[in-house]
Amino acid sequence: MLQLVLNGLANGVLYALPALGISLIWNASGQFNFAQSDLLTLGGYIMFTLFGTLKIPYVPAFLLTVAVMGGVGYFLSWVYFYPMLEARVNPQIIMIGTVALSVFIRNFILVVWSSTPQRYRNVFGSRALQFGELFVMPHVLWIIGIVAALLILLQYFLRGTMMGTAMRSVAQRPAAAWLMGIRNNRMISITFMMSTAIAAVAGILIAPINTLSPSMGSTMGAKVMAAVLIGGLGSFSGALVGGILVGVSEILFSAFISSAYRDVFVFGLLVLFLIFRPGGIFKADISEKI
Amino acid sequence: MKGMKNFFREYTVFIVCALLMVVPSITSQYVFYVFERGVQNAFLVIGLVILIGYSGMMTLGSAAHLAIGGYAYGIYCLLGLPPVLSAAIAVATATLLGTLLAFPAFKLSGPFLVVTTVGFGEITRILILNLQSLTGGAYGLSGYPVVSQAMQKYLYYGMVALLLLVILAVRRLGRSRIGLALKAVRQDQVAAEVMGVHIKRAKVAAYALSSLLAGLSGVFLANLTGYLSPDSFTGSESATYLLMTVMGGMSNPTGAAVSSVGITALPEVLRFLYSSRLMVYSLALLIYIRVKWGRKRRVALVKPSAQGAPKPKGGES
Amino acid sequence: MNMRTDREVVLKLSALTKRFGGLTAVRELDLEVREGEICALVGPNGSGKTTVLNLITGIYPVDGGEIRFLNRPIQGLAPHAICWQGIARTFQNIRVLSQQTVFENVLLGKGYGNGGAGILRTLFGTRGHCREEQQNAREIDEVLEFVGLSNLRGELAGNLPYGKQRILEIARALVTGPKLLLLDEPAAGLNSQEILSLMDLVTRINARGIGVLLIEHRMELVGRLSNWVYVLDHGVKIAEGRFESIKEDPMVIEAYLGRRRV
Repeated sequence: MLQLVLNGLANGVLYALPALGISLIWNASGQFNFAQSDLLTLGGYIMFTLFGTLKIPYVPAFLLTVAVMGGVGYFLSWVYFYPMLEARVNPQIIMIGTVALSVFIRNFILVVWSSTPQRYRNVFGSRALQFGELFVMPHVLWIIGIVAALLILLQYFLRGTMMGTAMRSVAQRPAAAWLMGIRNNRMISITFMMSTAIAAVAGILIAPINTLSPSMGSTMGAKVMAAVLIGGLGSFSGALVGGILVGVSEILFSAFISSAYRDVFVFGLLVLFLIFRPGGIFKADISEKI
Repeated sequence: MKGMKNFFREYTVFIVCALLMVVPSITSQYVFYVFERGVQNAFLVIGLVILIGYSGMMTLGSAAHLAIGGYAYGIYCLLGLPPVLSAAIAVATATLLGTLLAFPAFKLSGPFLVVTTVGFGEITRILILNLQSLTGGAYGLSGYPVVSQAMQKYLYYGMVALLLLVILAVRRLGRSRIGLALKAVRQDQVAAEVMGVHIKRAKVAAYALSSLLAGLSGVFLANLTGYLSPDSFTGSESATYLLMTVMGGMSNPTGAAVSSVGITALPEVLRFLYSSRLMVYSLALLIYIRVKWGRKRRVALVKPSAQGAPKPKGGES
Repeated sequence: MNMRTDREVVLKLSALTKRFGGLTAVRELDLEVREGEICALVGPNGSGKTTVLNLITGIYPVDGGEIRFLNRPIQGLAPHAICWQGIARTFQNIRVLSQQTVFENVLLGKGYGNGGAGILRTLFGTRGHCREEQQNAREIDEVLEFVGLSNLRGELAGNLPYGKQRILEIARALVTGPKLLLLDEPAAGLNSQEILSLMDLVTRINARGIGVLLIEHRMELVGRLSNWVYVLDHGVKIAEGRFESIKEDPMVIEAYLGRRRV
């Protein structure tokens, strides 16, 4: 049981990373990025090329992938998101654009890496560790550890540094922040860069759990979005809790009830939340001023 | 000049349908099939025009409505009902199940609504995959009666004629009080409600009409392919239908028909595009959106809000 | 009060209360609008005037008290149903559909779901549907003529100047066939010329027997138009009466100008 929960936790924190990216972007720009999980997949594939094909050692390949994806995020915000926000385009149109982006990335991966599922060597070792009665795969612990470290770092960045404070101010009152001399475009670009980079981390870490396939962005994406809304859109803790809740309950449901219907369960959970607590666990503000 | 433009807007639909009518007599068997699929997609996409273009209720679950229509037809046929009756009940089933989605739409909007439709799409797909005894699961569903090869041509003519009627009707809808109520759902629900627009009823109407058209499209699909598989109804397919809707001009039924036939048929014309076609379309759409709406430069970035700030642009009517 | 009592009460709020979290936006408000009169609801910024309108039109749920319209309770009804009963309003921050034409904006006031405009009839374009549309168009043209927007019939509402958009909102409200019209700061952002024509319009609307509840900042406008004034401060009614008596009331002066230091 505990073993399942641990596996679920590793699974869940990986949902939490792209979910967090979606929330960060939502806060900074009021946009919902549908391409987040496709960016995750793209990160995974870049790692596959660097580490699996080009045989670059794991840690440099890891860092390089994250850097490349951060660049992709910056680029996207610079060519698409910021100009659209600046022209005050209807959020719905921007949202449709992110759907197009998601389709583009998915098919780009399909064209470049083909549709055969890929996987590469599991660096964390494939021998299960034994703690008393408990058998745990090393990658499970690694994933939880790395993500925890990343989240602490991120939390420090957002709360403890000038840059983070500036980012939060742009999210809350863009006009006021702008008048205070904060460059909104840079803050928004940095938000996109960060969100994409952490999605890439998830894409790299997911490799031992899942094989990479171009459609991962769609199957996983649906659950990531469910996690965001369950946790509360725009909330740091919400993304984390939502991701873990989805990840753990999914594993437990498939172990004890039915693996075929586990996704139905996740979306059922989402529907219950949307009906009874539409703001999510950490209530997002969805009311409109009249 | 303006009169000319209006004349064009009014009558393009007849030209388009006339062109579609001559397709079977001038093309090969395979290209004809592709056009059939294009026309079949057009029904679904026109449904999305009502839902997304008019009412602004985004959906990424449209493939599920299509699947319900198609599978329902197949299943009813295999249960022994005559094909025509099955088709009618299948469309009714799709309409009924699709209209259920209007209920979350009463409360939700924006990303909340879209993710709900994603969930609906996934749930439908998983159910199809797992209810093997009914749907054939991952192996797909086949063996139900379809329109015979010899009759395909007449089915196609019928589809195009029906398409013409649907476009005319949806266009009239767009100009009527219902259409206006739907457009108000997109632009300012509160104002519309206070002006006596029954918003919930308008939303139910939008979902009912769009899932009716999707169900119809599904029945045609089942007849064209003779085989249904859950792989044809994924979230990616829904996204593609969304792209077709936007490419067609969002709230223009004629444009929607042209773009769905065009996007379905184009890779046949440009063979080298085949494997990368969706990549090219999505990129083109992204550039189109960026250039069409995102060009104007302003000084400050202010979140669009209900109060005071100018209305956000986008989504012409 | 003597001149008021002989008229019938159209709208009656009794002990109306609305809380937002810990803040009481409207407290135990009693208010009456009588047949065919122009009533004004005034008060400093943030005194809860717009909240009162949002409560009447059903946008916010009521926390306490009662709203009666033509002797029927209307609280708890959906906004569209309240509109069908005969209450129409305009908004402080203009809410026209900027992407639709002037005509279409006014057509919106015909509502949806209140009979007519059936889906099947519209889709098939039956004769009944056409007749209904013609009837609507005639009515709308008449209203546009009445408010003076006939020449802008086909223009996109978003392209209209600010003042015209305010008039358009009034036209849209009139098409719903109201017995009571709620105007939320109709003069905000208008120049003096436009204010004059607005005052004329409100008087003409009133002359058609439509009651008006006017929310307004500008005292001169209130003085010219209204037969009865309610003053609200921090959600509490601090005075009511004829304009002449209100403007001498020390409580009102204090609310507007602040406490006099001794």
